[in-house]
Amino acid sequence: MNGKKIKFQRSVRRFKNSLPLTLLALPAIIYFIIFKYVPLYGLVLPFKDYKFSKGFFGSEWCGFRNFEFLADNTQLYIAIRNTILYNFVFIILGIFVSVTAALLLFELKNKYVKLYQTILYLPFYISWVVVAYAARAFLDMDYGLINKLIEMFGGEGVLWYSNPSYWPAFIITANVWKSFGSNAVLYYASLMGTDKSLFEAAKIDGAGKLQTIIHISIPSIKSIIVMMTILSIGKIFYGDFGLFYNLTLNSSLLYPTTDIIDTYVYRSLVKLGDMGISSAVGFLQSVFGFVLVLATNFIVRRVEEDCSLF
Amino acid sequence: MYFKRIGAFMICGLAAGVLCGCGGGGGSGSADPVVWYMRKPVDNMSSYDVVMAEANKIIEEEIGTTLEFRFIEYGSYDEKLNVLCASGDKFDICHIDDTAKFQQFIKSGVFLPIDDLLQEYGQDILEKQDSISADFSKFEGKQYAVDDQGAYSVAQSWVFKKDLVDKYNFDYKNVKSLDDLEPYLKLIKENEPGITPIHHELINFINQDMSYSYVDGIVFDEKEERFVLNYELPAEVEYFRKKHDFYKKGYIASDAISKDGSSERSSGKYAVFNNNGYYSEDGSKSSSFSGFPCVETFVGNTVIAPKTSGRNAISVTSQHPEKAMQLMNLIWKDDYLLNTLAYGIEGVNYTVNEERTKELGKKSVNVQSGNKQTWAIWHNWLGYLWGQWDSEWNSAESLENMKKTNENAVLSKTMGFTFDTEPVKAEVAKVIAAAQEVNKVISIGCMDDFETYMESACNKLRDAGSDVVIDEMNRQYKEWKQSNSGQ
Repeated sequence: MNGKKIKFQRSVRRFKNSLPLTLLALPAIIYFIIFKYVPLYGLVLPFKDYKFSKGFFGSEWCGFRNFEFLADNTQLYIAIRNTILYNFVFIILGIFVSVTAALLLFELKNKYVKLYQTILYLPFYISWVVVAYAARAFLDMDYGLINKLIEMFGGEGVLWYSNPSYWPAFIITANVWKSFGSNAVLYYASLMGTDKSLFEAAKIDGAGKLQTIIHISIPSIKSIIVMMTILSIGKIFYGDFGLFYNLTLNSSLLYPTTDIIDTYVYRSLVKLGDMGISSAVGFLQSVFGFVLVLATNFIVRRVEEDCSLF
Repeated sequence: MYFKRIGAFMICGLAAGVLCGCGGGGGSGSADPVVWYMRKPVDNMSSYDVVMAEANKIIEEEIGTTLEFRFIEYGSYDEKLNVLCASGDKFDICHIDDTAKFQQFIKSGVFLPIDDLLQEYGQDILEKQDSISADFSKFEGKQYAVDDQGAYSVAQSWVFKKDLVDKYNFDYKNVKSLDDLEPYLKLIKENEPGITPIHHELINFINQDMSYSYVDGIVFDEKEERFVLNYELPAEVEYFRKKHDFYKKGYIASDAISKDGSSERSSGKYAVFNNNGYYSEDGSKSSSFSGFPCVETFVGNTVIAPKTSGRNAISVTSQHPEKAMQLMNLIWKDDYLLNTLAYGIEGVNYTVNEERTKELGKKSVNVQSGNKQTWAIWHNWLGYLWGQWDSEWNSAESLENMKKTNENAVLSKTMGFTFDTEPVKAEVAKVIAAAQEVNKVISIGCMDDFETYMESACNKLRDAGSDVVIDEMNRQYKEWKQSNSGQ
C-alpha cells in the first residue's frame, strides 16, 4: 500500500518536472488526438452497410460482406504482390542511396553543402503529376528524348508506355530520385549531432576515411536507420497512388507490373463508390501494417534493444 | 510559473481555434431561401446580386420564398457534393450529371422521391417535359429527380480535315462504314508523314442492336433482350477486329494508349476523327470546335439508353421540399424567369436582337461572351431547355434540330430499368476493374494478337465474376419487365 503511494507521488513529481516539455509537445498531442485517435471510430465502417442518410452509427451491421471483394480476387493478389515487392525495394534501395548521400555530404566540408542539400531535397516538393509530364518528355513515343537518341543511333523507337517489362526500373528510379534527398538530409542532421571528439580521436589514431565511416559514422546513425525502416515497414501495404497512377499515365497495358492495391481499389470502386468495401481494404492495409511494425520491432528489440522503437 | 502562463495561453488559443472551426460554416439564413447547388457555369459570376434580385422579385411574389444558388468550382463539384451529402448539409436542390453517382446517392438515401411532390406542385413540369426524359431519373420505380432536357441521342458523324479531303479529292459524303474509309486512310498513311490517319476513339458504327449498361464490359443485347459480355457479341468482335487491323497497318497512332482523347482529337494531327457530340451538316460545329476547317459525314443516332443526361434532385435534408418543387415548377412555367436566370439582366448581360426577333417572331438576344461575360447558367441545368430564347448559345434552328433528333432516335428496351448492384457488389467492383484494364486496349486495337487477347480478356472478366453479375442483371431485368407489363 505504502509502496504504491510512493510510486504515485513519484510519478506526480516526474510529471511536474517534465511539464515544460509536455507543454511543448501539446500541439502535437492534440493533433494526434483530433486527427488520429478520434477518427478511429471509423473502424466500424468496414462492418457496416453504410448509408449517408442513416449516418455512421445508424447504418446496419453487415458482418464480413464488405470483405467478400477481397476473396478469390486474382487481380487484387497481383496488385498486392506488386505493392509489397515495390515497397521492399524502395526501403532497401532508399536506405542505401540516402545513407550514402548523407555520408558524402558529411565528408564535404565546404560552403556549398547547404546548396547541395537544397538541391537534393527539391524533388520531394514536386508533385507526381509534374514528374509524370517531365518523364513523358523522356519516354514519349514520337518526341521523347530517349527515342530520339535511339533513332539518332539508327535504332528503332520503343513504345515505353505499352511495355510493362521496363516499368519496375522506371518506377524505382523515380521513387528513389524523389525521396532520397529528404531522407539524406535527415541522416545528415543526425551525423552532425555526433560527438566531434570521436572523429578527432580516430584521426589521431590514424584511421582512414573509410574506416572512420564504417566504425564511427554509420554506427552513430544506426538507430535512426533502423527506426526509419521500422516505420516504413508499417506502410508496406500502402502504395503511393500519385506515383503509380500518374507516372504510368494510367496506361492499362502496364498494369501487370504497375498495378498496386491503391490503384486497383480506385479503379474498381470509383464508379461504385462503395464506402464499405473501400474501408474494408483500408482496414486490412492498416491492420497488416500494424502487425508488421510490432513484429519488426520485436525482432529488433531481441537483437539490439537500443535501436527498437518501443 | 512562467511555463504555466504560457501553457494557459496555449490551451486557450487552441480551444478557441477548435471552437471557431466547429462554429464556422453555419452562415445566415433567416429568410430560409431555397438553396440550390450547381457547378459554376462560367468563372466570373459577378452579376449574381443583380440577377438574383430580379429573379427573386418574381419568385417571392409567386411562391413566397427566395432562391440562393451556391456555385462550386467545376472540377471539384462531385467531390464536394459527396462531402456535403455525407455530412448532412441542409440544402434543397442539387444538379447532378453523373448517372452512376446519382444512383449511388439514391441508394445512400440522399435524395427524396418526388412522385407526390411532382403531382401536387409540378404540373407544368409534367406537362412540358419530354415524355422519355421522365424515365431517366427513375430508380426502382420511383422518380428521384427532374431531368435535364436536351438531345438525348447523340448524332454521330465522321469529321474530316478539310484541306486533306480537298487535296486527295475524297468522296467523304458516301462513307458508310470503316471499310469505305480504308482507302482514304491508306492514302494518308502513305503520303502525309506528319498526320495520323484516324483518331482511336471512334464511333462504334452505331450499333442499334446494343446499348451500354451500368457495369463496364457488359452490354444489353437489344435483339435478344438480355445482358451479355461486350466481347461476346459477334458484331462487336468484328468491329474491334477491324480496329486492330487498322492499328497494325499504322492508321491508328501506335502510342494511342498513353494519349488523352478529347484534346488530341482536335489537335490537327488526325485526318479523320469523331465529332464532339454535335453534328452539323456543313461541318461548322466541328470546325469551330477544332479551330480548323472540317467537313462531316452523318453516321447515325445513338440508341437512347438510361444513362445520358443530368438532372436536379431534391435533398432529404431539405426543410421545405414543397417550396423547392414549386420553385422548379415556376422556372419551367415562366419563360422570362428561366431566361433571366440563364442569360441575366437585359442591358447588363444581354441585349435584344430586334431584327432577328422580328424575323423569328420569337425573342432573340445577343449574349456577352469571353471576359465580358459576368453571368450564365445553362438552360438545361435549370429545367425547360425548349423555352430558351434564340441566342449565340443555341439558335432556334438548332433547338428544332435537337428536338427532331430526339424524335427519330431509337429507345433502348432498358429505359426505366435500373440495376441494383447490392446483391453482387463485390463482383461488380471486380468486373469494372477488369473491364477497365482491357477496354482501352481492345478499343484501340493495340494488342499483339487479336484472338489470344480477346480470349484472355473474356477470361479475365469471367474470373472477376461477370457470369454472376450478368445472371443477376438478367434476373432483375426480367422481374422488372414482368412487373411493368402487368401494370
